[in-house]
Amino acid sequence: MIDEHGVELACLHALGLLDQTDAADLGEAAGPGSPLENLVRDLSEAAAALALAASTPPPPALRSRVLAAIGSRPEGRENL
Amino acid sequence: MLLTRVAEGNREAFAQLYDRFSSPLYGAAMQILRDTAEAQDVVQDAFLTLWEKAATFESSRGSAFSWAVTLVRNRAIDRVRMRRRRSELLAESAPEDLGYFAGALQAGGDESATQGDEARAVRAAVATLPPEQQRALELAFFGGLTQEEIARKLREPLGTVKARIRRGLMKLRDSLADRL
Repeated sequence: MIDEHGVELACLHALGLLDQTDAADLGEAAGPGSPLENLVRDLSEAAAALALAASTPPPPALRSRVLAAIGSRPEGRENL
Repeated sequence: MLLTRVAEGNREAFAQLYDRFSSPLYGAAMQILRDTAEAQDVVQDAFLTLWEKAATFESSRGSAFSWAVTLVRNRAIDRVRMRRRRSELLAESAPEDLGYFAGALQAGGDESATQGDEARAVRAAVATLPPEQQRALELAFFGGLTQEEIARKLREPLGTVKARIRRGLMKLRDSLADRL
């Protein structure tokens, strides 16, 4: 069972509105595999889906620009 | 999984990822920034981060799409906040009636079939929310405002705003449960 405060923290996390104190509280409460962790993930996906409602094709030139830009960059640099 | 192939340096997979994600990411950036050049810069920067950090992605923490949206949204909101600081308008600079969702509900004439289906499903789910919940969610997600800033802007008690955000997002999750 997730209490109301847990639900509120999960919503704030999903919308990127958590402050550091609340983030720490949520981190402690939402252990791996816990119902709260699942709720955090579900609400984050629901919030991200809002971007789909705003879908707008970018200018075609942006695709070329992005693909050209990765041509000069190594991938997975963070793991090296 | 597409991002796994991207992490292996597969440029074709990266191009597929771009084709799949670019419209919602660009749309979100435009809703937040209202500036085509800045939106393109933000989307490009987010894709470069996806390319460079794909190997660090943990699917247990959420979807690749959710990660990509977070990258774009954080960058776009940072820019909006810089603008506000520059103009010393802070919360007052957040638009009064941009109608984020109203605009979004009419968008999407140029999407692929799959993207169009997903976008329509989300728009339909958003449209079922009471207007005050839509407003609170749009100000939080696209406006980048805190709950306190939203309460001041709407001249509503903080508790009311918190409840609207919570109920709206929970209902959205329930409406989209079979698609997420």
